Amino acid sequence: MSFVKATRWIMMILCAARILHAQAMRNDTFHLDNGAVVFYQTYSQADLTDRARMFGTTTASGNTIQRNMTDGTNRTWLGFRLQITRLPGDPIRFRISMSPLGNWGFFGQGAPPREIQNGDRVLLDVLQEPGTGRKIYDTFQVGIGVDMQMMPMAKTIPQMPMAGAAIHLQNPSLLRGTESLGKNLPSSDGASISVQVPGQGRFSFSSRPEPGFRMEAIAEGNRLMFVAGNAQYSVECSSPILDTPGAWYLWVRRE
Amino acid sequence: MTDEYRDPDLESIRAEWQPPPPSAEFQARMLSAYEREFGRVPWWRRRWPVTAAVAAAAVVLIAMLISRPSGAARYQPVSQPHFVILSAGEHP
Repeated sequence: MSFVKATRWIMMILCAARILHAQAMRNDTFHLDNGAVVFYQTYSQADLTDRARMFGTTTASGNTIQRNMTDGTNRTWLGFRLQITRLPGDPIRFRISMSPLGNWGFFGQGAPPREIQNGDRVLLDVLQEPGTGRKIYDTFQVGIGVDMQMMPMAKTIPQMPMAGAAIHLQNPSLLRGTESLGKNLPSSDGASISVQVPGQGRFSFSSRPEPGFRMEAIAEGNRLMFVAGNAQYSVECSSPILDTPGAWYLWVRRE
Repeated sequence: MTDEYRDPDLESIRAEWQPPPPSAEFQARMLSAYEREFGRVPWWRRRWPVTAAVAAAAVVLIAMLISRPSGAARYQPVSQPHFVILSAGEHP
């Protein structure tokens, strides 16, 4: 093998390792005493050697989820507890609140409590890189007897697009998991667009919040990944979906 | 003043004299002698410039790894987190 070929292979391996690293994410599923199922996801853009520290640990006990993060000497530097309380009556609702975990480090102020609906997906900003302002998020979905699904994994932490940013679906092909549901579907452009898939219904995407839409889609490069019901879908296009590089949240609705 | 140490006849003979070529075994004998003298010296002592460069690169690499901030050092807890309900169309 020539030197040039060897160098090319090494570069390919390094790039692949970088991509795999950048896709770091951990999923946990918890069954709480109140009957709720929690899909808990932690994203990390940290270096490979730091990933375990950035993820920390996530455990559940009773109706509580404990999160803690440790440094290189196994010292916990951040710990918090999420209490998920089922509220009485119908429809099913929950109250989520946060409190310190033991005497470990905590935020300046805890997150204000919120009430959520059955099946809601919640995002919690946890860490911030002072130099860049980038944040590390946890997301979790809480529900009883409803369709639930982990959010798809992007190569980078998704950001919010400019409201009304143009979405481009050029020669889209729709997949559910690895199963192809339609190829070379009609192309469309706009801040709010739809794709009609024979036998599957209409999938609508928007770069701004709209009634009936859920922010459960991520556009990255030529790929649009989203959750609908209890399935993960993806749309593969022939050109970038948004004009700006990176991963971007979009709103999705299936009819 | 004449140079009584210079003999013109002898000088002309010396100028025409050619040293005999080395024997066929000369190079093999020299290599053998070199191997006997230095053969047991590790390669990194025989090629010390390369060794020094590799060692310097290793030191720089290790220093970079040690000085690289850990996840705990790079990231800090946000001052106040918020529960953002994505399903309701909220965003960070």
